[in-house]
Amino acid sequence: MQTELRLVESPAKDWADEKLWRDGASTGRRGEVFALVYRQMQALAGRGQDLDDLVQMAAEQVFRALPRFEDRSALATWTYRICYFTLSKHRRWYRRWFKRFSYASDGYQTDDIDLTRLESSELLEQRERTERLRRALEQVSPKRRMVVILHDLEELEVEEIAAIVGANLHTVRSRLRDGRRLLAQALERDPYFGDAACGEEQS
Amino acid sequence: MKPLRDFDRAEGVRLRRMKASFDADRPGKAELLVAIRRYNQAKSRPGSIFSLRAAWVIAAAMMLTGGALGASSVLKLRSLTPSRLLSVPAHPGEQPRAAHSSGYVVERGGSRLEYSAPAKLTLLPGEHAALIIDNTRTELIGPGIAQIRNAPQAAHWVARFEPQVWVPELETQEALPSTSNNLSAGTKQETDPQDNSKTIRRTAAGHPRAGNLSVRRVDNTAPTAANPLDQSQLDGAWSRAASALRRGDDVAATAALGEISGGSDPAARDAAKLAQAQLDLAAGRRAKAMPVLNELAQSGATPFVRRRAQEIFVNGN
Repeated sequence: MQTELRLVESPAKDWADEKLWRDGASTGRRGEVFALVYRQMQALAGRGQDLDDLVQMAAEQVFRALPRFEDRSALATWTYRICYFTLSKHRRWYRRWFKRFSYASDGYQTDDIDLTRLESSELLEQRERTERLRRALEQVSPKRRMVVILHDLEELEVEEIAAIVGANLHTVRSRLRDGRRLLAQALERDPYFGDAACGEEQS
Repeated sequence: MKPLRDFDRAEGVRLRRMKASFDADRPGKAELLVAIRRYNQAKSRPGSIFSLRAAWVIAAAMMLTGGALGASSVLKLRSLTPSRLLSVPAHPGEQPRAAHSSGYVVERGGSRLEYSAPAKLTLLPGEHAALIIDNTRTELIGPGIAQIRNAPQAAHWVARFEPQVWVPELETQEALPSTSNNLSAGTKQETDPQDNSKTIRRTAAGHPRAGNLSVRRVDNTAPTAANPLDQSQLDGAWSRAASALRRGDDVAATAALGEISGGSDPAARDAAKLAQAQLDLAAGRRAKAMPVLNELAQSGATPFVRRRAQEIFVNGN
């Protein structure tokens, strides 16, 4: 039976209440799970044209497996893991696809963005910075990029990241170190994230 | 923010800016609502009539139906057994033919074996094999190994495979009891209709190395009960041999002589053998011809063959 999702207001701490997710499958709760998946997938994949597809694939897996969810990890870690593997699988397929086809545009989604946020030039500039950051992240290999995002931007612990990506702690740390170095190289000449700009603020 | 042990201060600034930009780009409530609306729309679309479960059911039903039809012989599956390969004639580019009966191999001494591919036959020096496929005869000259592999077409094209030894009789022109001893080379000499010995003499001067040779069918070639060639076939074979010698066609002459030697009449066989030996001598194949002549001189089937073989053998030495 299909039930429509609704987004309900829920205190942030409710994310940790896994029992609610597992037992209650109310449409409101499911809506919040969907929002969680959306946020996580958007953090991992950015706002590419395939974000909706990725979110729907991951959400389907999450909803299907939710009754079997066990308490061996936090719900957010579990959904992150599903998002990570959905994204990895999808990007592998896309790499093959991109060998034969290409987007007509630059591949970034511009529709359905919350336009009310783009009210001032400062916000426009902020959006431009974010896109530059995303482009720099795209230059890092996927596995390292994921670890950098999860650790430095999503602020997850190394142990959680190891559980998400299915690697041991040393591998995660190694990917993090290499990813940071590559990202710094990619942002070296950036007017906002580059060494010069950051050095000025430091001084 | 985590402690930045691995960062210098500039990198710390960069990380803080990155984090700020990243957080600013997080989806707001409006964006989430739009995403949920799109998700609901996607889920509310009518699904394909071929859901995964339906596909499995249809596949299982087709398998069961196919199995039942196959078991009840309603569906006849193509078999890859050799019998199918043998029973289907395939002549490229021509009308379909009736299938041959299974071929056979005639061994030395006349014993016949059913053909079973692959057939392999060793031809000794001086021996000859006739590969008869669909009434087309291919002559193979030894020494060598003739082998027919089990190709699908060859399997039902092979009719007979017969190793044979030729016994033609070739005579030099001056040795013939001809009424015109001064015949020039290349002149065809027809049979004297009054000659009771039924001698056919044809010059072989067309052959570049044969000299003045003529083929003579001696009167010991009368058909016997065991001879598969009747008189008309034998005459035709001798005529073809003589014609080929005139043209200088060594292979065709050899083939025609081989036909003659296909019979079981020892006189005809030895005559063909003698002719072939003389042909070999004219062609410079002395090592091949001399043992044959020596054998014919000692154990030829007729006095004429023995005498001629003796003469040629002595002259050749």
